[in-house]
Amino acid sequence: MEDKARLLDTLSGRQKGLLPVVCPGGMMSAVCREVGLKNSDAWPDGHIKPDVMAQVALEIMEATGFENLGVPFCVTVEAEALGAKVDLGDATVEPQIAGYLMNSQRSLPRLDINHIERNGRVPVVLDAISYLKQRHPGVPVIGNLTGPMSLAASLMDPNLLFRYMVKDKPFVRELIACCSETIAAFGEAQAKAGADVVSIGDPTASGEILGPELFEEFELDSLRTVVRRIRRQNAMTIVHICGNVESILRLLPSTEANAFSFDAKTAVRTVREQVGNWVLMGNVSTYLLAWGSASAIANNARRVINEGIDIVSPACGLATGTAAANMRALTDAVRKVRSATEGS
Amino acid sequence: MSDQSVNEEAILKELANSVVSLNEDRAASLSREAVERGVDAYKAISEGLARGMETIGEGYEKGIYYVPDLLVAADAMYAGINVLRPHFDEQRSRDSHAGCGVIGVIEGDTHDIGKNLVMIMLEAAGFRMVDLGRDVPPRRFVEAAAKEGADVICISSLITTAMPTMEDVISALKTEGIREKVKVMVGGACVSPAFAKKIGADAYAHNAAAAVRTARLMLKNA
Repeated sequence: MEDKARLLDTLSGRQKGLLPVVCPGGMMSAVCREVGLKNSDAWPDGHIKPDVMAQVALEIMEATGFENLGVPFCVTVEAEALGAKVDLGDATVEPQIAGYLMNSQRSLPRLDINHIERNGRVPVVLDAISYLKQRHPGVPVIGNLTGPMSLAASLMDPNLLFRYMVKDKPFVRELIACCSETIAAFGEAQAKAGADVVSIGDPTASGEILGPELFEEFELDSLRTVVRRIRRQNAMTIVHICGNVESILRLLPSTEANAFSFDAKTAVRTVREQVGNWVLMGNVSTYLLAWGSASAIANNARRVINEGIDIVSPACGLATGTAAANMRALTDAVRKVRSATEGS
Repeated sequence: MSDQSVNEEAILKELANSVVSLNEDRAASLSREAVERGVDAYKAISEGLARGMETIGEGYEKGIYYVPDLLVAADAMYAGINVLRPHFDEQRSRDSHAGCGVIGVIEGDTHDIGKNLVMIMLEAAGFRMVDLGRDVPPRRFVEAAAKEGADVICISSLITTAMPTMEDVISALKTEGIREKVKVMVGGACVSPAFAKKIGADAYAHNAAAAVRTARLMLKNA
Protein backbone atom coordinates (compact mmCIF):
# COMPACT_ATOMS: atom_id res chain seq x y z
CA MET A 1 0.00 0.00 0.00
CA GLU A 2 1.28 3.47 -0.87
CA ASP A 3 2.25 5.74 2.01
CA LYS A 4 -0.20 8.42 0.89
CA ALA A 5 -3.18 6.09 0.79
CA ARG A 6 -2.20 4.60 4.14
CA LEU A 7 -2.17 7.99 5.87
CA LEU A 8 -5.16 9.54 4.10
CA ASP A 9 -7.37 6.47 4.51
CA THR A 10 -6.51 6.52 8.22
CA LEU A 11 -7.16 10.25 8.63
CA SER A 12 -10.44 10.10 6.75
CA GLY A 13 -11.60 7.34 9.05
CA ARG A 14 -12.09 5.07 6.08
CA GLN A 15 -9.94 2.34 7.56
CA LYS A 16 -8.55 1.41 10.96
CA GLY A 17 -5.42 -0.56 11.70
CA LEU A 18 -3.32 0.70 8.80
CA LEU A 19 -0.76 2.14 11.23
CA PRO A 20 1.09 4.81 9.29
CA VAL A 21 4.15 6.17 11.10
CA VAL A 22 4.85 9.85 10.53
CA CYS A 23 6.59 12.92 11.87
CA PRO A 24 4.63 15.97 10.68
CA GLY A 25 7.26 18.73 10.79
CA GLY A 26 6.75 22.21 12.22
CA MET A 27 7.06 21.89 15.99
CA MET A 28 7.73 18.20 15.45
CA SER A 29 10.58 18.55 13.03
CA ALA A 30 12.79 15.53 12.44
CA VAL A 31 15.78 17.60 11.36
CA CYS A 32 18.39 15.90 13.49
CA ARG A 33 22.09 16.50 13.76
CA GLU A 34 23.00 14.00 11.03
CA VAL A 35 20.53 15.38 8.52
CA GLY A 36 21.50 18.92 9.46
CA LEU A 37 25.24 18.31 9.34
CA LYS A 38 25.13 16.29 6.14
CA ASN A 39 25.16 19.59 4.31
CA SER A 40 26.00 22.06 7.05
CA ASP A 41 26.60 24.74 4.40
CA ALA A 42 22.97 24.31 3.43
CA TRP A 43 21.85 26.04 6.62
CA PRO A 44 20.02 28.24 7.06
CA ASP A 45 19.17 27.79 3.35
CA GLY A 46 16.94 24.88 4.34
CA HIS A 47 14.64 27.44 5.95
CA ILE A 48 14.77 30.14 3.26
CA LYS A 49 15.13 28.40 -0.12
CA PRO A 50 12.27 26.24 -1.39
CA ASP A 51 14.42 23.75 -3.29
CA VAL A 52 16.73 23.24 -0.30
CA MET A 53 13.74 22.95 2.06
CA ALA A 54 12.28 20.29 -0.22
CA GLN A 55 15.61 18.48 -0.41
CA VAL A 56 15.94 18.44 3.38
CA ALA A 57 12.41 17.06 3.73
CA LEU A 58 13.38 14.24 1.38
CA GLU A 59 16.63 13.55 3.24
CA ILE A 60 14.73 13.34 6.52
CA MET A 61 12.31 10.83 5.08
CA GLU A 62 15.15 8.75 3.70
CA ALA A 63 17.20 8.82 6.88
CA THR A 64 14.37 8.17 9.33
CA GLY A 65 11.85 6.03 7.52
CA PHE A 66 8.95 8.31 8.49
CA GLU A 67 6.25 7.89 5.87
CA ASN A 68 5.68 11.52 5.03
CA LEU A 69 7.30 14.73 3.91
CA GLY A 70 6.87 17.63 6.31
CA VAL A 71 7.61 21.35 6.09
CA PRO A 72 8.62 23.78 7.50
CA PHE A 73 11.15 22.79 10.17
CA CYS A 74 10.28 25.38 12.79
CA VAL A 75 7.43 27.28 14.45
CA THR A 76 8.52 30.79 13.47
CA VAL A 77 7.11 31.38 9.98
CA GLU A 78 3.80 32.92 11.05
CA ALA A 79 5.29 35.16 13.75
CA GLU A 80 7.89 36.36 11.27
CA ALA A 81 5.18 37.03 8.69
CA LEU A 82 3.57 39.29 11.30
CA GLY A 83 6.79 41.19 11.88
CA ALA A 84 8.70 39.28 14.56
CA LYS A 85 12.47 39.01 14.24
CA VAL A 86 13.76 35.47 13.83
CA ASP A 87 17.20 34.01 14.41
CA LEU A 88 17.40 31.32 11.75
CA GLY A 89 19.97 29.18 13.60
CA ASP A 90 22.25 26.72 11.84
CA ALA A 91 22.77 23.06 11.07
CA THR A 92 21.89 21.98 14.62
CA VAL A 93 19.86 24.87 16.05
CA GLU A 94 16.26 25.45 15.02
CA PRO A 95 15.01 28.96 14.16
CA GLN A 96 13.94 30.94 17.24
CA ILE A 97 11.93 34.10 17.69
CA ALA A 98 14.39 36.80 18.70
CA GLY A 99 12.38 39.04 21.00
CA TYR A 100 8.66 39.55 21.49
CA LEU A 101 6.98 41.81 18.98
CA MET A 102 4.35 43.01 21.47
CA ASN A 103 4.88 44.20 25.01
CA SER A 104 1.45 45.61 25.78
CA GLN A 105 -2.15 45.62 24.61
CA ARG A 106 -1.44 48.70 22.55
CA SER A 107 0.73 47.02 19.97
CA LEU A 108 -1.54 44.72 17.97
CA PRO A 109 0.20 43.95 14.69
CA ARG A 110 -1.16 45.01 11.30
CA LEU A 111 -0.86 42.44 8.57
CA ASP A 112 -1.90 42.32 4.98
CA ILE A 113 -3.86 39.12 5.47
CA ASN A 114 -5.08 39.18 1.88
CA HIS A 115 -1.60 38.52 0.60
CA ILE A 116 -0.21 36.13 3.18
CA GLU A 117 1.58 34.25 0.42
CA ARG A 118 3.94 37.22 0.07
CA ASN A 119 5.08 37.56 3.68
CA GLY A 120 8.39 36.42 5.13
CA ARG A 121 9.09 32.75 4.49
CA VAL A 122 5.49 31.87 3.64
CA PRO A 123 6.29 31.73 -0.11
CA VAL A 124 9.25 29.43 0.64
CA VAL A 125 7.04 26.93 2.45
CA LEU A 126 4.36 27.08 -0.25
CA ASP A 127 6.85 26.56 -3.06
CA ALA A 128 8.48 23.65 -1.24
CA ILE A 129 5.07 22.03 -0.79
CA SER A 130 4.26 22.40 -4.50
CA TYR A 131 7.65 21.01 -5.47
CA LEU A 132 7.28 17.97 -3.22
CA LYS A 133 3.69 17.33 -4.27
CA GLN A 134 4.62 17.30 -7.94
CA ARG A 135 7.77 15.20 -7.64
CA HIS A 136 6.53 12.64 -5.11
CA PRO A 137 2.87 11.91 -5.67
CA GLY A 138 2.82 8.69 -3.67
CA VAL A 139 4.08 10.28 -0.48
CA PRO A 140 1.84 12.40 1.78
CA VAL A 141 2.96 16.02 2.13
CA ILE A 142 2.19 17.50 5.53
CA GLY A 143 2.20 21.28 5.93
CA ASN A 144 2.43 22.76 9.39
CA LEU A 145 0.89 25.65 11.26
CA THR A 146 1.61 27.15 14.66
CA GLY A 147 -1.66 27.14 16.60
CA PRO A 148 -3.38 30.42 17.57
CA MET A 149 -2.44 30.36 21.26
CA SER A 150 1.17 29.40 20.57
CA LEU A 151 1.44 32.08 17.91
CA ALA A 152 0.06 34.64 20.35
CA ALA A 153 2.64 33.49 22.90
CA SER A 154 5.40 33.97 20.30
CA LEU A 155 4.29 37.56 19.72
CA MET A 156 3.87 38.44 23.39
CA ASP A 157 5.60 37.06 26.48
CA PRO A 158 3.24 34.44 27.90
CA ASN A 159 3.97 35.86 31.36
CA LEU A 160 2.02 38.90 30.10
CA LEU A 161 -0.41 37.15 27.77
CA PHE A 162 -1.70 34.79 30.46
CA ARG A 163 -2.35 37.70 32.81
CA TYR A 164 -4.33 39.48 30.10
CA MET A 165 -6.45 36.35 29.75
CA VAL A 166 -7.81 37.16 33.19
CA LYS A 167 -7.50 40.96 33.25
CA ASP A 168 -8.17 42.08 29.65
CA LYS A 169 -10.19 39.48 27.84
CA PRO A 170 -11.26 41.68 24.89
CA PHE A 171 -7.61 42.30 24.04
CA VAL A 172 -6.76 38.60 24.12
CA ARG A 173 -9.79 37.80 21.96
CA GLU A 174 -8.60 40.35 19.40
CA LEU A 175 -5.06 39.04 19.43
CA ILE A 176 -6.17 35.41 19.06
CA ALA A 177 -8.51 36.45 16.22
CA CYS A 178 -5.59 38.08 14.41
CA CYS A 179 -3.48 34.98 14.99
CA SER A 180 -6.11 32.54 13.80
CA GLU A 181 -6.84 34.62 10.69
CA THR A 182 -3.12 34.54 9.84
CA ILE A 183 -2.92 30.81 10.44
CA ALA A 184 -6.12 30.03 8.55
CA ALA A 185 -4.90 31.97 5.50
CA PHE A 186 -1.53 30.20 5.62
CA GLY A 187 -3.24 26.83 6.02
CA GLU A 188 -5.54 27.45 3.05
CA ALA A 189 -2.52 28.45 0.97
CA GLN A 190 -0.66 25.29 2.01
CA ALA A 191 -3.62 23.16 0.94
CA LYS A 192 -3.88 25.01 -2.38
CA ALA A 193 -0.15 24.51 -2.92
CA GLY A 194 -0.66 20.77 -2.60
CA ALA A 195 -0.41 19.80 1.07
CA ASP A 196 -2.41 16.62 1.63
CA VAL A 197 -2.55 17.26 5.35
CA VAL A 198 -2.08 20.35 7.50
CA SER A 199 -1.00 19.81 11.09
CA ILE A 200 -1.69 22.51 13.67
CA GLY A 201 0.66 22.38 16.64
CA ASP A 202 -0.50 24.36 19.67
CA PRO A 203 1.56 23.44 22.73
CA THR A 204 0.67 26.64 24.59
CA ALA A 205 -2.98 25.64 24.51
CA SER A 206 -2.35 22.64 26.73
CA GLY A 207 -5.02 21.58 29.16
CA GLU A 208 -2.60 21.76 32.04
CA ILE A 209 -1.88 25.43 31.29
CA LEU A 210 -5.28 26.81 30.35
CA GLY A 211 -7.85 24.41 31.71
CA PRO A 212 -11.20 23.79 30.02
CA GLU A 213 -12.80 27.19 30.68
CA LEU A 214 -10.04 29.32 29.17
CA PHE A 215 -9.54 26.79 26.37
CA GLU A 216 -13.20 27.02 25.47
CA GLU A 217 -13.22 30.79 25.84
CA PHE A 218 -10.16 31.60 23.73
CA GLU A 219 -8.97 28.64 21.73
CA LEU A 220 -11.66 26.20 20.69
CA ASP A 221 -13.56 28.31 18.16
CA SER A 222 -10.31 29.53 16.59
CA LEU A 223 -9.03 26.00 16.10
CA ARG A 224 -12.31 24.92 14.59
CA THR A 225 -12.34 27.90 12.23
CA VAL A 226 -8.83 27.11 11.02
CA VAL A 227 -9.69 23.43 10.58
CA ARG A 228 -12.84 24.23 8.58
CA ARG A 229 -11.08 26.63 6.26
CA ILE A 230 -8.39 24.07 5.50
CA ARG A 231 -11.00 21.37 4.95
CA ARG A 232 -12.73 23.57 2.39
CA GLN A 233 -9.52 23.43 0.38
CA ASN A 234 -9.70 19.62 0.46
CA ALA A 235 -6.84 18.92 2.81
CA MET A 236 -7.03 16.91 6.01
CA THR A 237 -6.11 18.23 9.43
CA ILE A 238 -4.31 17.16 12.57
CA VAL A 239 -4.38 19.06 15.85
CA HIS A 240 -1.42 18.47 18.17
CA ILE A 241 -1.43 19.64 21.78
CA CYS A 242 1.34 18.74 24.26
CA GLY A 243 1.32 18.17 27.96
CA ASN A 244 -1.42 16.67 30.07
CA VAL A 245 -4.59 17.27 28.05
CA GLU A 246 -7.03 15.39 30.25
CA SER A 247 -8.87 18.53 31.31
CA ILE A 248 -9.74 19.50 27.73
CA LEU A 249 -10.28 16.10 26.09
CA ARG A 250 -14.06 16.38 26.01
CA LEU A 251 -13.77 19.67 24.06
CA LEU A 252 -11.26 18.56 21.45
CA PRO A 253 -13.38 16.51 19.04
CA SER A 254 -15.41 19.64 18.30
CA THR A 255 -12.34 21.14 16.63
CA GLU A 256 -13.44 18.83 13.78
CA ALA A 257 -9.84 17.92 12.98
CA ASN A 258 -9.36 14.57 11.29
CA ALA A 259 -6.95 13.45 14.01
CA PHE A 260 -5.71 14.42 17.45
CA SER A 261 -2.00 14.08 18.22
CA PHE A 262 -0.82 14.09 21.81
CA ASP A 263 2.05 13.72 24.26
CA ALA A 264 3.33 10.77 26.24
CA LYS A 265 1.97 12.48 29.36
CA THR A 266 -1.56 11.35 28.59
CA ALA A 267 -2.13 7.63 28.03
CA VAL A 268 -3.73 6.49 24.78
CA ARG A 269 -6.38 4.64 26.80
CA THR A 270 -7.35 7.79 28.70
CA VAL A 271 -7.78 9.74 25.48
CA ARG A 272 -9.70 6.92 23.80
CA GLU A 273 -12.15 6.73 26.71
CA GLN A 274 -13.04 10.40 26.28
CA VAL A 275 -13.08 10.75 22.50
CA GLY A 276 -14.33 7.43 21.19
CA ASN A 277 -13.56 6.64 17.58
CA TRP A 278 -11.63 9.78 16.74
CA VAL A 279 -8.37 9.12 14.89
CA LEU A 280 -5.54 9.31 17.42
CA MET A 281 -1.88 10.00 16.76
CA GLY A 282 1.21 9.86 18.97
CA ASN A 283 2.72 9.37 21.43
CA VAL A 284 6.17 7.78 21.42
CA SER A 285 8.41 9.25 24.11
CA THR A 286 10.83 11.81 22.73
CA TYR A 287 13.12 11.10 25.65
CA LEU A 288 13.42 7.48 24.53
CA LEU A 289 13.86 8.56 20.94
CA ALA A 290 16.74 10.80 21.99
CA TRP A 291 18.49 8.59 24.53
CA GLY A 292 16.85 5.18 24.57
CA SER A 293 17.98 1.97 22.96
CA ALA A 294 16.50 0.70 19.71
CA SER A 295 14.73 -2.05 21.63
CA ALA A 296 13.25 0.35 24.20
CA ILE A 297 11.94 2.46 21.34
CA ALA A 298 10.49 -0.56 19.57
CA ASN A 299 8.81 -1.63 22.82
CA ASN A 300 7.31 1.82 23.25
CA ALA A 301 5.99 1.74 19.69
CA ARG A 302 4.39 -1.66 20.23
CA ARG A 303 2.86 -0.48 23.48
CA VAL A 304 1.17 2.57 21.99
CA ILE A 305 -0.09 0.43 19.11
CA ASN A 306 -1.54 -2.07 21.60
CA GLU A 307 -3.17 0.76 23.48
CA GLY A 308 -5.03 1.74 20.35
CA ILE A 309 -3.12 4.51 18.57
CA ASP A 310 -4.13 4.91 14.93
CA ILE A 311 -1.10 6.83 13.65
CA VAL A 312 2.28 6.37 15.29
CA SER A 313 4.37 9.50 15.77
CA PRO A 314 6.66 11.15 18.31
CA ALA A 315 4.91 12.46 21.42
CA CYS A 316 6.18 15.99 20.96
CA GLY A 317 9.12 17.98 19.65
CA LEU A 318 12.23 15.88 19.11
CA ALA A 319 15.51 16.76 20.79
CA THR A 320 17.99 18.07 18.22
CA GLY A 321 20.48 15.38 19.20
CA THR A 322 18.09 12.58 18.32
CA ALA A 323 19.87 10.07 16.09
CA ALA A 324 18.36 9.16 12.74
CA ALA A 325 19.02 5.52 13.68
CA ASN A 326 16.69 5.87 16.65
CA MET A 327 13.95 7.32 14.48
CA ARG A 328 14.50 4.43 12.12
CA ALA A 329 14.20 2.02 15.04
CA LEU A 330 10.73 3.48 15.59
CA THR A 331 9.59 3.36 11.99
CA ASP A 332 11.00 -0.12 11.41
CA ALA A 333 9.25 -1.39 14.55
CA VAL A 334 5.91 -0.09 13.29
CA ARG A 335 6.39 -1.65 9.86
CA LYS A 336 7.27 -4.93 11.56
CA VAL A 337 4.00 -4.87 13.49
CA ARG A 338 2.17 -4.10 10.25
CA SER A 339 3.67 -7.02 8.36
CA ALA A 340 2.95 -9.33 11.26
CA THR A 341 -0.72 -8.37 11.23
CA GLU A 342 -1.41 -7.89 7.55
CA GLY A 343 1.28 -9.95 5.86
CA SER A 344 2.04 -7.01 3.58
CA MET B 1 -10.38 36.15 72.60
CA SER B 2 -9.65 39.86 72.75
CA ASP B 3 -11.12 42.35 70.28
CA GLN B 4 -7.64 43.01 68.98
CA SER B 5 -7.00 39.41 68.02
CA VAL B 6 -10.45 38.98 66.52
CA ASN B 7 -9.81 42.04 64.37
CA GLU B 8 -6.39 40.74 63.44
CA GLU B 9 -7.82 37.38 62.48
CA ALA B 10 -10.42 39.10 60.35
CA ILE B 11 -7.80 41.13 58.51
CA LEU B 12 -5.63 38.08 57.89
CA LYS B 13 -8.63 36.26 56.44
CA GLU B 14 -9.46 39.23 54.21
CA LEU B 15 -5.85 39.40 53.03
CA ALA B 16 -6.00 35.75 52.06
CA ASN B 17 -9.31 36.29 50.30
CA SER B 18 -7.98 39.20 48.27
CA VAL B 19 -5.38 36.86 46.78
CA VAL B 20 -7.89 34.07 46.18
CA SER B 21 -10.19 36.55 44.44
CA LEU B 22 -7.26 37.76 42.30
CA ASN B 23 -7.80 41.31 43.48
CA GLU B 24 -4.54 43.25 43.36
CA ASP B 25 -6.02 46.57 44.44
CA ARG B 26 -7.78 45.04 47.41
CA ALA B 27 -4.66 43.18 48.50
CA ALA B 28 -2.71 46.44 48.48
CA SER B 29 -5.38 48.48 50.29
CA LEU B 30 -5.94 45.78 52.91
CA SER B 31 -2.20 45.60 53.48
CA ARG B 32 -2.18 49.36 54.13
CA GLU B 33 -5.04 48.86 56.55
CA ALA B 34 -3.16 46.06 58.27
CA VAL B 35 -0.20 48.36 58.82
CA GLU B 36 -2.46 51.10 60.20
CA ARG B 37 -4.11 48.66 62.57
CA GLY B 38 -0.74 47.50 63.87
CA VAL B 39 -0.94 43.97 62.51
CA ASP B 40 2.54 42.47 62.41
CA ALA B 41 3.71 42.91 58.78
CA TYR B 42 5.42 39.55 58.57
CA LYS B 43 2.32 37.83 59.93
CA ALA B 44 0.16 39.69 57.42
CA ILE B 45 2.22 38.02 54.70
CA SER B 46 2.76 34.55 56.09
CA GLU B 47 -0.69 34.08 57.61
CA GLY B 48 -2.64 36.33 55.27
CA LEU B 49 -1.46 36.86 51.70
CA ALA B 50 0.61 33.70 51.48
CA ARG B 51 -2.26 31.61 52.86
CA GLY B 52 -4.36 32.87 50.00
CA MET B 53 -1.64 31.80 47.60
CA GLU B 54 -1.58 28.37 49.24
CA THR B 55 -5.32 28.05 48.67
CA ILE B 56 -4.82 28.94 45.02
CA GLY B 57 -2.04 26.34 44.86
CA GLU B 58 -4.34 23.68 46.26
CA GLY B 59 -7.00 24.66 43.75
CA TYR B 60 -4.44 24.45 40.96
CA GLU B 61 -3.67 20.88 41.94
CA LYS B 62 -7.36 20.04 41.95
CA GLY B 63 -7.91 21.55 38.51
CA ILE B 64 -9.98 24.49 39.77
CA TYR B 65 -7.42 27.15 38.93
CA TYR B 66 -4.99 27.17 36.05
CA VAL B 67 -1.83 29.03 35.11
CA PRO B 68 -3.36 32.43 34.28
CA ASP B 69 -5.19 32.47 37.65
CA LEU B 70 -1.99 31.65 39.49
CA LEU B 71 -0.10 34.48 37.87
CA VAL B 72 -2.79 37.04 38.69
CA ALA B 73 -3.15 35.74 42.26
CA ALA B 74 0.60 36.10 42.63
CA ASP B 75 0.34 39.70 41.45
CA ALA B 76 -2.17 40.34 44.23
CA MET B 77 0.09 38.70 46.78
CA TYR B 78 3.13 40.72 45.71
CA ALA B 79 1.12 43.95 45.60
CA GLY B 80 0.38 43.37 49.28
CA ILE B 81 3.95 42.31 50.07
CA ASN B 82 5.31 45.49 48.51
CA VAL B 83 3.15 47.54 50.86
CA LEU B 84 4.17 45.48 53.89
CA ARG B 85 7.86 44.99 53.21
CA PRO B 86 9.12 48.33 54.58
CA HIS B 87 7.34 47.52 57.83
CA PHE B 88 8.83 44.24 58.78
CA ASP B 89 11.94 43.22 60.61
CA GLU B 90 14.43 41.98 58.00
CA GLN B 91 16.42 40.01 60.56
CA ARG B 92 13.38 38.28 61.95
CA SER B 93 12.16 37.46 58.49
CA ARG B 94 15.57 36.03 57.59
CA ASP B 95 15.48 33.87 60.67
CA SER B 96 11.98 32.69 59.85
CA HIS B 97 12.79 31.60 56.33
CA ALA B 98 11.86 28.03 55.59
CA GLY B 99 15.05 27.80 53.59
CA CYS B 100 16.88 29.33 50.67
CA GLY B 101 16.51 28.19 47.11
CA VAL B 102 18.22 28.99 43.83
CA ILE B 103 15.99 28.49 40.80
CA GLY B 104 16.29 28.74 37.05
CA VAL B 105 15.55 27.30 33.63
CA ILE B 106 18.44 25.19 32.36
CA GLU B 107 20.70 26.34 29.55
CA GLY B 108 19.22 25.83 26.11
CA ASP B 109 15.67 26.55 27.22
CA THR B 110 13.81 29.83 27.61
CA HIS B 111 10.33 28.68 28.70
CA ASP B 112 9.99 30.16 32.16
CA ILE B 113 6.37 30.22 33.25
CA GLY B 114 6.63 26.95 35.16
CA LYS B 115 9.78 28.15 36.88
CA ASN B 116 8.05 31.43 37.78
CA LEU B 117 5.13 29.55 39.31
CA VAL B 118 7.43 27.35 41.40
CA MET B 119 9.27 30.41 42.63
CA ILE B 120 6.01 32.14 43.56
CA MET B 121 4.73 29.13 45.51
CA LEU B 122 8.04 28.61 47.32
CA GLU B 123 8.19 32.30 48.28
CA ALA B 124 4.62 32.09 49.50
CA ALA B 125 5.72 29.13 51.61
CA GLY B 126 8.41 31.24 53.24
CA PHE B 127 11.46 30.30 51.19
CA ARG B 128 13.97 32.96 50.20
CA MET B 129 14.33 32.43 46.46
CA VAL B 130 17.09 33.59 44.14
CA ASP B 131 15.90 33.65 40.54
CA LEU B 132 18.60 32.96 37.96
CA GLY B 133 16.19 33.40 35.07
CA ARG B 134 16.31 31.30 31.91
CA ASP B 135 18.94 29.68 29.71
CA VAL B 136 21.15 29.29 32.81
CA PRO B 137 24.50 27.51 32.39
CA PRO B 138 25.10 24.69 34.91
CA ARG B 139 28.01 26.52 36.55
CA ARG B 140 25.80 29.48 37.44
CA PHE B 141 23.47 27.28 39.45
CA VAL B 142 26.43 26.00 41.45
CA GLU B 143 28.04 29.41 41.94
CA ALA B 144 24.78 30.96 43.08
CA ALA B 145 24.03 28.08 45.45
CA ALA B 146 27.48 28.42 47.02
CA LYS B 147 27.25 32.21 47.27
CA GLU B 148 23.75 32.23 48.79
CA GLY B 149 24.24 29.20 51.02
CA ALA B 150 21.23 27.69 49.30
CA ASP B 151 19.49 24.65 50.73
CA VAL B 152 17.99 23.66 47.42
CA ILE B 153 18.62 24.12 43.71
CA CYS B 154 15.50 23.99 41.53
CA ILE B 155 16.09 23.30 37.86
CA SER B 156 13.36 23.54 35.24
CA SER B 157 13.27 22.31 31.66
CA LEU B 158 10.38 22.20 29.22
CA ILE B 159 12.06 20.76 26.14
CA THR B 160 13.68 17.38 25.64
CA THR B 161 16.79 18.93 24.08
CA ALA B 162 17.78 20.71 27.29
CA MET B 163 17.32 17.76 29.66
CA PRO B 164 20.83 16.27 29.60
CA THR B 165 22.33 19.60 30.63
CA MET B 166 20.53 19.27 33.96
CA GLU B 167 22.89 16.45 34.82
CA ASP B 168 25.82 18.84 34.34
CA VAL B 169 24.60 20.83 37.34
CA ILE B 170 24.95 17.77 39.51
CA SER B 171 28.39 16.96 38.12
CA ALA B 172 29.47 20.55 38.74
CA LEU B 173 28.25 20.33 42.37
CA LYS B 174 30.37 17.22 42.83
CA THR B 175 33.40 18.87 41.24
CA GLU B 176 33.02 21.79 43.66
CA GLY B 177 32.74 19.36 46.54
CA ILE B 178 29.36 20.70 47.66
CA ARG B 179 26.98 18.02 46.39
CA GLU B 180 26.09 17.01 49.95
CA LYS B 181 25.44 20.59 51.00
CA VAL B 182 22.49 21.21 48.72
CA LYS B 183 19.41 19.33 47.55
CA VAL B 184 18.55 19.28 43.87
CA MET B 185 14.95 19.31 42.68
CA VAL B 186 14.02 19.08 39.00
CA GLY B 187 10.82 19.62 37.09
CA GLY B 188 9.29 20.64 33.80
CA ALA B 189 7.01 19.19 31.17
CA CYS B 190 9.48 16.70 29.74
CA VAL B 191 11.07 15.68 33.04
CA SER B 192 9.97 12.56 34.90
CA PRO B 193 10.72 10.88 38.24
CA ALA B 194 12.75 8.27 36.34
CA PHE B 195 14.83 10.96 34.70
CA ALA B 196 15.39 12.71 38.02
CA LYS B 197 16.66 9.47 39.51
CA LYS B 198 18.85 8.78 36.49
CA ILE B 199 20.72 12.04 36.77
CA GLY B 200 21.10 11.80 40.52
CA ALA B 201 18.69 14.57 41.49
CA ASP B 202 17.22 14.39 44.99
CA ALA B 203 13.65 14.95 43.92
CA TYR B 204 11.19 15.58 41.11
CA ALA B 205 8.15 17.82 41.40
CA HIS B 206 5.38 17.66 38.83
CA ASN B 207 3.95 21.12 39.49
CA ALA B 208 4.43 24.24 41.59
CA ALA B 209 2.30 23.08 44.51
CA ALA B 210 4.10 19.73 44.63
CA ALA B 211 7.40 21.64 44.59
CA VAL B 212 6.52 23.24 47.93
CA ARG B 213 5.69 19.91 49.59
CA THR B 214 8.81 18.36 48.13
CA ALA B 215 11.07 21.21 49.22
CA ARG B 216 9.71 21.10 52.77
CA LEU B 217 10.15 17.33 52.92
CA MET B 218 13.68 17.45 51.53
CA LEU B 219 14.80 20.03 54.04
CA LYS B 220 13.16 18.24 56.94
CA ASN B 221 15.14 15.14 56.12
CA ALA B 222 18.36 17.04 55.42
